[in-house]
Parts: sequence; C-alpha cells; structure tokens
Amino acid sequence: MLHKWLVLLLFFLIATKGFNQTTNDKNRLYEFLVECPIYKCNIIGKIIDTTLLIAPPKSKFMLVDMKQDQCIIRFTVLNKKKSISNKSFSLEDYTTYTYYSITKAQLDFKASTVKKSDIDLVVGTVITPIKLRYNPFDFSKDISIGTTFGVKYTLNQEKQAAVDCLIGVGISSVSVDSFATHGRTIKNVDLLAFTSSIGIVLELGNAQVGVFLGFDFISNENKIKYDWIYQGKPWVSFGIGFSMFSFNLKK
Amino acid sequence: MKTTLSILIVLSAWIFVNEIQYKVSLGKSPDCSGFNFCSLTKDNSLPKKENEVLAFINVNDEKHIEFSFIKRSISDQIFLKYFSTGTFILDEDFIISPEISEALKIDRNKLKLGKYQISDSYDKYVVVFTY
Repeated sequence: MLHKWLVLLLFFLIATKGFNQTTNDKNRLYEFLVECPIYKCNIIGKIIDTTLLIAPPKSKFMLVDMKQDQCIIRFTVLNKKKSISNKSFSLEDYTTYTYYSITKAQLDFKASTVKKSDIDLVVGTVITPIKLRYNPFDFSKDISIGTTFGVKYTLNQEKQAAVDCLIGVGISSVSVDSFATHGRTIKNVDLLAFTSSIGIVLELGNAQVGVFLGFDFISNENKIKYDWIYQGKPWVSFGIGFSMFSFNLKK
Repeated sequence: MKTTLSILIVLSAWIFVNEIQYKVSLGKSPDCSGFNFCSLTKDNSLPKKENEVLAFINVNDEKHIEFSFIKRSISDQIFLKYFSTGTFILDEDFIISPEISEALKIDRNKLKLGKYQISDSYDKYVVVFTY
C-alpha cells in the first residue's frame, strides 16, 4: 500500500516538472554569460556587415527569430522601473532597431534567460531522511516524501544565493515500536502517515541546506489501535540537496 | 489662443535648437581605453572618432547630473562596450573642465566613480551621475 502511494506521488512530481519547463521556454529575454562574437544582420538574418563584433558579458538581448542554426537578436536596455510588456515595446521605434546574428549553440552555451523578478515560485521534492522528535526526545529514519511549494527570493544572482520559504505536504513511512505506543505493539510496525511541514532552504550555487518543521498524522484507525505518542507532535529535520525547480513571478 | 500657441511653438523650437550638445569621448585618457570619459567638450558637430558620442547634459540638482547620450551618434562597438549591459561604469572619478563646469553652472567638478543605471528613453540613453 505504502509503495503504491510513493509511486503515485513520484508520478505527480514528474508531471509538475514537465509543466514548468514548458513555461520557461516562453522567455525570450536573454543575457550573455561570457563574451560572444556577433555579426550585424537584417531582421531576416542576412549578414549585412562582416565586421566581427563582440558582445560583452551581461549584455541583454531579445531573441527575435530563430532559423535552424541561426538566431536573430537585438540588444535592449532595460529600464529599472519600466515593466516588460508588449505595451511598453510598442512605444519604441522599431525602424531604429539593429539586429545581430548568433548561432543556436552560442545561445545555448553563452547566454541564459533574464529573470524579471527576484521572487520565484518554487515547486519541488524534499526528502527528509531523519526526523528529530521531542517529548520524549527520539530520532528516527522515518522518510517523508511529498510536494513542496513556496517562494524563492534571490539574494545574489551572480553568486546564485537564494532563500526558499516552503510549505510541504506528503506522506511518510513511520516506524512505531513498543516505546512509542505505550506497549500496544511488541514488534516494529511501519505505518503510513500524512505529513505537513514548513521549511527554509538556503541555496548557494548547487549547495542547498534546509531546516524543516513538520507534523505526522497516522490514520484514526491506527491512532486508536496503537496510541502513537508522536501523533500530531512537531518534528525537526535537516536536509541537504533538494530537487527544486522554479518559475519567475513576472512572466 | 492661436497667438499663444504660436508663441509656445516658437519658444519650444528656439529652446530645442539652442540646447547645447556636448561631445563625449568614452574611455579613459590618455589612450581612451577602459571605462570612463576620455574628454568632454562643448561641441555639437558630428562625431569623427569611433569612441565619440553626442550628449545633452542637464543638472538635476546639487548632487545629480544627467547625461542623455543620443543613440544615433553611438557606433555599434561603443554601444556594445558601454551601453549593452545596462550599466554605465566610471572606473574612477572624472574631473570636469572649468569651461564645462561654468557652462553647466555647477560648483563641484567631479563625477564620482561608480556603476550607474542606464535608462532607455526613445532616442537617448540616459545616465544620471552623482557629482
């Protein structure tokens, strides 16, 4: 039974991930991560000046068109207070635009999409392998798995530093024994529990460290049967390495 | 009503025509490399060197001075180097010549080093410097 629930949950998480990747593909505002050779072209991609130009790192551009291996771009200076919308672009004089050509490989490896807000919505999976329980103190390897969602605030984009505030729901496999059931059972029994949690995750590059506070609830039938002493009581868990993916709020 | 309107139009045109253009050489003296102003002169002739751009300068208040760089005077190379990142860098303080200070009617003559946000304003790139 527990195995079936875990499989169902994993299927849901994979489906959610697929949805978010589709959303990211719509973003056409990019930034060069490293310098990139570019050539001046017209809007249909014909090179009109063979002078080699170099776009510097952090220069921002719009992807105007993509033709097989060629990408047609134009640079844009973002106004800090100006919202990025089709309405604001319509006010510009498009006859003055200058277009440049880069290859698709350069777009893939030398540029990344520009975030329009420091705040992202995040959805992901958090596995808490060890739980610290209190009153009385105990620790267990009751694994929880579930969907976690919340907001991610980017502290420093260059250093990839961010803090995530998360709310999670999922299921746990809790191991109950004689101690935790006032002697209602002699042998260890694994039970399914509903788990809700809140947590904070600090991200720095690829490293992630998080602390979670949560509650486990076994079913009413099992509660009466086993009188589990940690029913609805808080637990604390620490974790590293989460599978989180995000999408920007201002898209 | 018509007379008032005509006067306003003539006055606006006169102000527009008489707005002083400055020629800014980008880069750092003596070889005009790096990120700074190589020179700043009162000159509205078309740029002859690649690193020269035309700009209008307005004193916003006692601390801020606004440079409006005219887009059509900016070459591709100069745009890519100085404007495409959205941040204008002054890698050290720039000393404004007494002649320009006098024309702008400012007491202090030093643009402070720093990274300044570039705003896109139709046909100009606007940068507000601290001085």
